[in-house]
Amino acid sequence: MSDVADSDHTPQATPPTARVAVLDNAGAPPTAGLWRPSRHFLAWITPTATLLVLLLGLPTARTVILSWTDNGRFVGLENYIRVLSDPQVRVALRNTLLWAVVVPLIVTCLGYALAVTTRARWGGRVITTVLVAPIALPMVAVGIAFRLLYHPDPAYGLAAWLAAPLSHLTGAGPDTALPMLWPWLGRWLGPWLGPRLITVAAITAFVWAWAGLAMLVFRYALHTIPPEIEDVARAEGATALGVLRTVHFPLLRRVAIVLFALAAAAASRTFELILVLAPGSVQDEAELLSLHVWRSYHQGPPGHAAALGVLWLMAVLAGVLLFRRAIHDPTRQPVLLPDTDQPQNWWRQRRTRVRVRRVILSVALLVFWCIPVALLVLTSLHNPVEQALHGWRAPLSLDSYREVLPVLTGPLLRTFLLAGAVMLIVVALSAPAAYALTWLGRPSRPWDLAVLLCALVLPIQVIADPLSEVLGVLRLSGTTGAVILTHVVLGIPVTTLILRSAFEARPPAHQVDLVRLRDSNWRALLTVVVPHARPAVIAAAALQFVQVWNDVVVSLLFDASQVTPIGITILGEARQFSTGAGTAAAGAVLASLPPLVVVITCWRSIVETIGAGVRRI
Amino acid sequence: MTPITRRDALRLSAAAALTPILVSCASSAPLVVTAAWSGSEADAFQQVLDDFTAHYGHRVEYISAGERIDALVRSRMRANRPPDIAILPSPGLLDRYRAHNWLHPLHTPPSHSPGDAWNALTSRGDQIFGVWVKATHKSLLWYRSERAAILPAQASSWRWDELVAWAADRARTGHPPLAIGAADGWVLTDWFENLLLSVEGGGEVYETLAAGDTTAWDSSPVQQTLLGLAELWSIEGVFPGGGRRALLTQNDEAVIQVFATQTADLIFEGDFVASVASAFHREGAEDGLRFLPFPRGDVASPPLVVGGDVAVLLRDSEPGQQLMSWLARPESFRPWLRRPGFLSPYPVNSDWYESPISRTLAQQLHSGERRLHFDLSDRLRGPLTGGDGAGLWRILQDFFAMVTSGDVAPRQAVDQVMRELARITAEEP
Repeated sequence: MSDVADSDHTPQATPPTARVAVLDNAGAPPTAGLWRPSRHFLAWITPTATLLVLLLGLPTARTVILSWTDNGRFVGLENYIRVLSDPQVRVALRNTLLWAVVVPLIVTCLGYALAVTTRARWGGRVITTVLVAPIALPMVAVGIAFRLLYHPDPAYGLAAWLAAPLSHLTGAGPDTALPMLWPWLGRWLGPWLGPRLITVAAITAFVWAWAGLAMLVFRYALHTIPPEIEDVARAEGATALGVLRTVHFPLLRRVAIVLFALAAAAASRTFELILVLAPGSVQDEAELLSLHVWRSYHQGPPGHAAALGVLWLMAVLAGVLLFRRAIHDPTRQPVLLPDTDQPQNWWRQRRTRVRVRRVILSVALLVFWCIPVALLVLTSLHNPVEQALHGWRAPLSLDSYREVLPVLTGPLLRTFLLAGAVMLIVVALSAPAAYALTWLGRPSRPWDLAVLLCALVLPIQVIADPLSEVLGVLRLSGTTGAVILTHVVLGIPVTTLILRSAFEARPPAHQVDLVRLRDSNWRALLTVVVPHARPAVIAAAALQFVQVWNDVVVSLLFDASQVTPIGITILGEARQFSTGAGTAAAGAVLASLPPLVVVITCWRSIVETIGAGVRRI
Repeated sequence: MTPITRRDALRLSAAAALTPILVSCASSAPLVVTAAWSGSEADAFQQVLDDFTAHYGHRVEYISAGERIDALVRSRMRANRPPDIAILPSPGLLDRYRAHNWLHPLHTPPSHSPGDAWNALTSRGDQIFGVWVKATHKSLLWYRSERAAILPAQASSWRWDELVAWAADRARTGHPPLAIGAADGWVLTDWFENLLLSVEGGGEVYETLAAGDTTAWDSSPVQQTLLGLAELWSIEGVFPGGGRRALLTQNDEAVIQVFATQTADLIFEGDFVASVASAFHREGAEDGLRFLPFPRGDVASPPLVVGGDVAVLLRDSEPGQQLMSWLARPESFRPWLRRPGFLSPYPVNSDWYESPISRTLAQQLHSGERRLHFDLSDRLRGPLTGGDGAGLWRILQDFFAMVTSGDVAPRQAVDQVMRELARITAEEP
């Protein structure tokens, strides 16, 4: 057992170097002597594994086979060649690459910058709430908010309204997004929702939603760096940039990689954001693989969509491999820290002297981050007809809510039940699997993590058609059961990973208990493992609920109108955006409340789980 | 949040999970009908179904599928539990489903017939696979009654070049003459279809294209049509805010530009413009709405493009056949005919329409003065099938962007589109 894990350590006694080691040197905890190989291993893991094989594995294999065939005839790589010669596909590939590389880079850098600037600033709790909240919002709602922001008419769009006086001055024309640039460049770029800037507009929406989470993670990581190290660097005359280079970069590198990977996985799957934000005429310029595979399903031969899907899948798997290589470090020694060493309330900032400049900066940040939501709420507070005619300067009224409530009550209730059911089933299936993987099987099997990671990044569009076939064989296609099952298999990998990591974390105090309870798996499970993993279970369940609540893709692909979840309903309201903006905004506001409530209710558990995750990175 | 205890939530979610199982166990299932209609249209259709239930005693369950109707039918077919009847928004879907052998022919031919142009799309040999339930008139130019004075006297029978000349004059005075929702690709395909029918030889090419012969895209009428569109669309100041703004304008917003904010004079689109306009213009009703026929070209009469919704039978049963026959009777739709915004594909007693606009439009559909052509883009298959950012929609939007930008000469833009059409149609196996 490691020395550092010695339970004699109190937080005060932990040497700073050991605390740094948490960030840079914490691998899987030592497990020798604690594993309890059990004959029941298979029994614990079978239900979950069966579901994953049947509903993810089989359809993936089927997609691969489909991509080599045309009407059942083997055609080798022909489908791939045909697909790659399509200029539309090349646009989708280019954009997806952009989303997978540039967007996570922006999210990571901005997250770091925000964490550094806000960690000792005035108004900490408010800033954290406002910046982190967008991650819980449905992307449909984010899309509506940003479509309002970027609407080309100054009466509706805030960006156009702000740019209007400038464009008068520079003569760049009324519909240019960036009139302060040289007139020709501004004119060439055109409006925000035009073909040249639509991807930029969509990226800003995504970054707005994600930067807060990155900030939160970095703030935790920064907290684990002992202030002494930074003080030394500063005493030696290092500027903020110097501190970043000499202290933060080496110590936060792994955290940054994980964040990058997380944001890349999410960004490359962007789907409904583009559907809502991009007007029909620029959908082809904003095209992503996620959309193109979905669109091409029933257009061309099935082999084409399958080939495209396989290409996408291979790119994603390559990404996973790259990530594993970047994060893998054979020299790292497993280190265990007493869990009392966890910084308390780290997400609140350190209290420091209030300075006017900092207050101004904080307020500016707050206002800036509130704009999209404020616009959404303001738009929802108008009569829909008046809103369509006069934009947000129309008189306030609750008519939009009055109009949309009868339409939304059913979907809201059904989505609530759906998300709740999926949440319970996923946790019920993932917890035994995670427990078996960490405690009952043989230690150090790298494959389970690899399989879970692959299942986690598998884009649902790639396997949609074969999955429907499997669901059809089960006589479930087009039923609520199909939607629930699809959500369940998509939720199992991430939940299992979170729980696996929580079960695996064995703080020294618990290890003593575990050695004592060596003879009884059940008692060990119930008295030590489960109570310790409670925050992770709550966080994983909350994440799952929010995930299903905010979903559009699965419902669009598998729902046959028995559920019609809230995301789909709002997508329909926003279809004719100018006339539907009022009701769509009201719907978006209503649909955003439950996930926000869930995240706020489970805030402590979520934060603890994130903290535990960062410590293990 | 709703005050639901954890135990309640558990019970409810268990019930939700069990619902499909319970439903599939129920024996005397009602007929299931699905269509894209929602809101007030769904209410009106429900009345039609209620009358059927009152008459025959079979219960009917209606599912509003919105734009996902194709996905719904597919996924349910896969589990071998299709809805009994689906009402499809385009005959292209009917073709595809028939190719899959999903459709059942009618046992007895329907009592009424909307006409040969319609019947040709629903029958194969002597079998009839669909029943038309709703029609859309897509060859109209709408304006406010106050704007009548600025239109030329011969506007009710004007030719394409007269429209172009008038638009150029009007645009020169600083008043944009036309509103267009170019963000919706179907608006542009409707322009293309109407003008194609107005050019010399366009009618034949139109039907050849609709029949699936893609070589006809490379023809002089198609080129003439694109040139004509370029001529009108490239006029400086023809659309409020310019072409780039028009590409971000959806059809509903374009209607508002004509009938509420009055930033444009005319809007071309189908009969459904009336229902959007009446919600937004001051009078709050159909008064004040006027319309003109789409201009004729080299041919004698103006074009008439129609769209429609067609009911198909996905599960054969006696009640299902009865409901199909019920939907084929124009009388069944009388509750809906009373409301504005519904046109019957069948010639019916004009007193059944309460809206004067509907009455006139229905008369135009059935008078036989103009040869009726069914919407082309709804009949296209393969890579030209429309959709946001796809098929003919995308091609015409790119064309619109080119000709309105002023950077590309109309003829060059037309050549580019002709090449793109040739490339895409060559892909087809």
